[in-house]
Order: sequence, then C-alpha cells, then structure tokens
Amino acid sequence: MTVVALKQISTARNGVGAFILQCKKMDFHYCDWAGSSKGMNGFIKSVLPRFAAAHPQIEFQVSPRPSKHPVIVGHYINGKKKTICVRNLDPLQVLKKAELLREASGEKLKRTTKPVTSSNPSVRGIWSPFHGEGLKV
Amino acid sequence: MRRIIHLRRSSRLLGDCSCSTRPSVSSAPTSRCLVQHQHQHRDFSSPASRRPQVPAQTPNISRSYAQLHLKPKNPLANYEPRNGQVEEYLPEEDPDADLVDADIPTEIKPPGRLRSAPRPDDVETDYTPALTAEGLEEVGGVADWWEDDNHWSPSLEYVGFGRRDKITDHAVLEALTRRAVVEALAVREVEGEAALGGTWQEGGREALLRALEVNLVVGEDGFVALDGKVTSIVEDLKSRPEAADSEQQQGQEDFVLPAQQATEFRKSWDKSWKTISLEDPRLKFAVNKRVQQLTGHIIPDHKLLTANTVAAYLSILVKPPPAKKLAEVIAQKRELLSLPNVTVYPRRVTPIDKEKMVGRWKVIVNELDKRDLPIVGTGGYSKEPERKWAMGKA
Repeated sequence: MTVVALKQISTARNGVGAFILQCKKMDFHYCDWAGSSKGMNGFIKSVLPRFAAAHPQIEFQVSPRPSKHPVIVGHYINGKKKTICVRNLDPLQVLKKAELLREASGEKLKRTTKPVTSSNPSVRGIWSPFHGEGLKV
Repeated sequence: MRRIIHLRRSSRLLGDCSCSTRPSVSSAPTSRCLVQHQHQHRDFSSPASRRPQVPAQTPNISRSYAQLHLKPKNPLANYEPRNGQVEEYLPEEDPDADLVDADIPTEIKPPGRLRSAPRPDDVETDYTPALTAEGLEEVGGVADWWEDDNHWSPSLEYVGFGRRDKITDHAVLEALTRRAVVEALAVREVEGEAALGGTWQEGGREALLRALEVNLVVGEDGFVALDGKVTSIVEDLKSRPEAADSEQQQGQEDFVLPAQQATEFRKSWDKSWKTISLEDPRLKFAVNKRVQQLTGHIIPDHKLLTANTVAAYLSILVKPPPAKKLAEVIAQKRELLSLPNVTVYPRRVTPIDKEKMVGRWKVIVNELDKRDLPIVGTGGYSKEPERKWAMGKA
C-alpha cells in the first residue's frame, strides 16, 4: 500500500506534530555496458543497500535501461515525479542526488522573493462584506 | 515476308564477336556470324564450361553433366511465332559431339545420362496422360544429387588445419600454449631452426603429458633450458605412416586435456615460463602455428606482432570472461534482495510491465481487441493528420 496524501479537512502542516516523507518511490535505472553508468552501478552495488535500509518508507526499484544514461526518478505523494540524470557521476555524487530527491516535496520549484514565507493565514480571518458593521459611504 | 532467325544464344556472347566491326554489345552481327558463333563457341553455351571443370571418372561424366542443363532435344518444342512474324528454327547439332571427354580419375559419383520419358503418342499402352500435376508423384531429378553422402567420398571432405571446435577453457588453453612452447624449443634445440616450419603431428595423450611434464628453466639472461625427455618430444611430432591408419591412433589424436587436470598442471608450474621471449619470428611462428593446430584459435597478424613474450601471447589467446551483469551481481550478493522495500528487475521495465503491475494490461488488451486495433505497435496507422494541419504543415 503506497502512501497517499491525507484528505484535507484543514490545511496540512507537515512536520507540525507528524511528518510524512513526500517521496514515496525511487527508481534507479542503469546500463550494464555504458561508461556513464559506472558510478551509478557502483552506487547500486555498494551504497544503495544502506540507503534503502535507512528509508523503509520509500519503495526502491532497480532496473536496467540499456544504451541510455543512468537516471534516478523520484515519485511523490502529490502525484508528481522528478528525474535526475546521474551520468558520469561517482557513487557519492549519486548519493547526493538521491538525497536531494528524497528531501524534495514534489512541488514545482518556485522562485522565493520574500524573506519569509508562511503558510499560516492571518489570525483575523478572511474579510467578508456580509459580516460586521459594514462600510458606510 | 521477313524471316527472323530464332537462336538460343545469349547476347553477351554475341557481343564478343571477333568479326564484328563494332565492339559494343548493341551492335548486331550478321546472321552468318551468328551461325559461325554457334559452331565456334558451342562450348560456352554449356554450363559445364562456365564453371570450374568437374573431374570425370568415366568418359560419360562430362557429357552427361552438360546434358543435364540442356534443353529438350525436340527442336520444335520451343517454336512459337512472335508478333505475327514467322520464325525459322535453326536446329543445333548434337551437343555431345564436340565435348571433350575428360579421363581424370575421381571419387565422386556423378549422375548418369539424362533420360527422357517417351511421348504419350509413342507408348502403345492404355496410358492416359494427366491433365493437371496435382497429386502426381515426383520422380527423378538431380537437384539434390550432391546433397547425398553416397555420391561423395569422405576423402573429399575439407579437413582444416586447426581444431574445428575451439578450446575455450582458460587452463587448457594455457596448458596447450606451454606444450607448443616446449615443443618449439625442443625442435629448435634438437633439429635446429630450419625444422621449426615443418609439419607436426597433433599427437595423443602420451605426447601431451610428455610435453607438459618438461620443466622450463628460464635464466636471468633469458636463456631457456629444457629439463625432460626432449628427444622423445621431437619424435612424437614426426609422422609415423605405419600407425596413421589405425583406429587407436585416431582415437588418441582426439584426446582433449580435462580442465581439472590442466588446472593442476598450471598450479605446478613456475610463472617464470611466461617470460620466455618470442622475439625470434621463427619461434613465434612455430608456437603460433602449433597453438592454432591444437586449440583452433587463429591469432591475427597485427596482434601477433605485439606478442613478444609468452605472457603477451597468452593475453591475446585467452579472452577474459565477459563482465557480469549488475543484476547478476546483486542476485549473488543478496544484500539488496533481502530488503522488503527494494525490487530488482533483471531487464528493462517496459510500459507494458508497468501496466501489468497495476493490473490494467488485461483491460487494455480487451478494449483494443474490441476495436480491432493492434495490441503492440501502431499496426501501420499513422499519427493523426489533423494535428499537422493545425500546425500549418502540408
């Protein structure tokens, strides 16, 4: 049973009280022949067993992709997926990319222009013209 | 009325006419010239003269071989008027008349004379000719004549110099290379360098073990000393005609060193024998020839040029095993497979596999069947042209 997003009754605050990892599945594709997969193959052989054991909440799938560059695909509980090509990287660099995908939220990357970003709405609530005393013209 | 001479002669041959003034093929020779050619170049028309001459045992061989490819003797069988013009058939002479009978002894058995069945009119029986070929038994024919082993002699079979089946085991290859080196050095020591290019017998089990038991002592200056029965090794290489035909000798020739025994031999040898120099081209040639004879491996010249020691030669001869696939390594280590959240596939996961994983593939197949669409592939259907039109393309 894969992890799915909770039905939202209120705004989700992931990490406030409970934390659900957004990455639910990771695919590792490699090529047996190509030299660009050398680091990826070493990662799968030597590093992935520890990485996978440390993240039991993520499903890992390892499969060849012959005659293609190696890639890591992260699947997220919002239904999106992110792909990173790891050609010509050594095993530790591949591990960095795998950690990047693990920590991603699955959302599209957005440009942050404000120094503070908050998802908490105002304590005063949303203004409504039908409530309160109204504005007299 | 115009008369056209109908000849069964290729225009290519006619184009080579010496009496023709123009050498081009399109030039039309005179009818006299055609008739002359028919007599002069009769031997070119028979297929037997266009291919290498088949040696014949009896005088009838070449004649009957040529007859197989000749057309029926009835001169009017091929007569047919063309375009309303009356053709005159120019009868050929007897094709057997000018064929030279070759009296070369051979062990092949050629097919006999061509015999034709009598015409239905000539048979004085109640014979009723069939109107269709359906259901009739096919008899005669020489199409598969040379496919029959009874028509060949075993002595005509090709016998290669090296082994037909190449030896692939690493230990056996190394052992046979050592045998070749020992034998080449022994021949050079006993009979001199001139004997290195001679013909050597493959030898049986005894000769093999005798050569492998010789100790090679390599000095610091590269000098190699043979410690063993050098003379008997050289004698083993020489042919013995009295024992050549015996079946026991034949059985011994096919002896292949078992891999386990070769491994034991390899462990017992000092590695210094691989430093033996092959700079001498005669020695290298003798070793290479012997290795080809014993193992069936042919080393190309450009690689042989770089092999100046036995170790370099072995690195060319003995191919490293193919690299294991990552899925095999993972299956061997069992470390990843023991984790419950890891799945390893030995081959590419295709879109069909992904559909099968979620149980949707059956539904897709049923729906495609209903619409009479191909299950896999496009089935020759092109992409929708409307998209192309919308993009403003033609």
